[in-house]
Amino acid sequence: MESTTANLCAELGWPFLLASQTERRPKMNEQEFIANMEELLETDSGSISLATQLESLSQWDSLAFVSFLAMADSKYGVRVTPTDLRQSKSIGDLMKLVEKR
Amino acid sequence: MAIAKVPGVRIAGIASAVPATRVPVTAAAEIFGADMIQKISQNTGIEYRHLTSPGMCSSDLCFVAAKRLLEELRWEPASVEALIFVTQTPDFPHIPATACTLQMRLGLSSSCAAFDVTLGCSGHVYGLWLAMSLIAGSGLSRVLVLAGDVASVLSSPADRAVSLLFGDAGSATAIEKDVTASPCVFSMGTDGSGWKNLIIPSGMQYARYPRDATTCIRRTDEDNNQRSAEDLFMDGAEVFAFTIREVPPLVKKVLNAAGWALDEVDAFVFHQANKFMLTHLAKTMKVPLNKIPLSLQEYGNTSSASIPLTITTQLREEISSQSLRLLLVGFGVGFSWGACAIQCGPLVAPPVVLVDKSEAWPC
Repeated sequence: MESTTANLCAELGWPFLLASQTERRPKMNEQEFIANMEELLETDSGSISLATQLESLSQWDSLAFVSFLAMADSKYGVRVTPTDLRQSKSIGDLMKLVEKR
Repeated sequence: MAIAKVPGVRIAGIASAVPATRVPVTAAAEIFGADMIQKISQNTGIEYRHLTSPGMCSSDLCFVAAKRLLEELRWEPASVEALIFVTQTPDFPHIPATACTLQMRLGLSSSCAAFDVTLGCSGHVYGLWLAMSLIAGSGLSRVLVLAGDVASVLSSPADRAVSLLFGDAGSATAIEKDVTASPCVFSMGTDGSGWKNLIIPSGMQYARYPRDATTCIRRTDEDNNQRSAEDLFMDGAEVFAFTIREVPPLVKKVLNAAGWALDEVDAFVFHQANKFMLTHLAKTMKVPLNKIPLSLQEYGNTSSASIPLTITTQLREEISSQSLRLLLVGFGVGFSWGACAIQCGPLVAPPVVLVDKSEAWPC
């Protein structure tokens, strides 16, 4: 839920303030997520980023797919549905899935 | 389902039987390549499987297990009042029920009730629940639950999602009235919306997707697996997602009802789905891995026989000599699941029997 300030900013059309409010929300540790994904994909550190497309990764196969469901559950406490996961295109999309709740 | 508590019934013995033919998963290297096999095997934990050959059915494995168990228990065949055969791989496509042929083959009395239950991974727990309820509720004294599958034959050899997963096995569990036994606690459940995630879509003339000239043709899917509509299909991700959603609360519910703390359970005997899944369940439920016996390394995923096979191969010494608190948990095809908290043993548990093709029913 947006804060009252954020609602007010939106109403008043102050996008600058709205953006800063949004940034203040707690963010997932991006580096940690990338490191977890590198471990899952058994790939070198620094070889992927949020922009990396899943279809460009040979390691993104059916086993990695299930490993991601397991990681989301055990490391982030989020039960990702295979349907949602199938729609993900990039590493950034995957991060959004575990950020969801 | 609400919790069911069944008093006054015990497991008298458990036996299992597997085909003598033992095949390493590396035998499929020609199809998938050695690297892929290693990757799959690391994930599933499966290194060998005992595989049937044409003409040897689930019922043959269960028959051998049952015969051995009746001998060891010194039960007169005529004393068995009901036989429940749990399988997804019966002897005949539609009729008759395999349980009827097993009544004859085992020399059970003609006053014995016999019927089939069509369930796989959850089937053994369902069989136990039915057998125990028949004794507690209908006043029977002795019931046999035969649970087994030859699931290895159902998959296409070129579908890496399933072809190295399933092993073949049969089991027999002898259940009898015992007023001194502590109540067994059961909970079952079903989510039929998962029906299409573990399925053989076609293969029969009169069924949902009637067999025709094309249903047996194997085609290559987007994951480069080859399979026809008459082969087993498994969506591993959907099965995994369902399992991690349903099994932990199921375990908690049954333990609560039994009044057992997690660390008071001597062994969690899970359906042997695959090692990755069981390790994940252990981690999220905080169950130490040494309390989860595994038979899948040697036998693969043996469908309805996996729980009794795991007991007789991994817990045989303990359960033959002492009483154990076991949590039995079956889950999978359907989707269907069931769990049972049971205090059992010492009970009769002969070593797993190897079955030769010559022992198949020569009907």
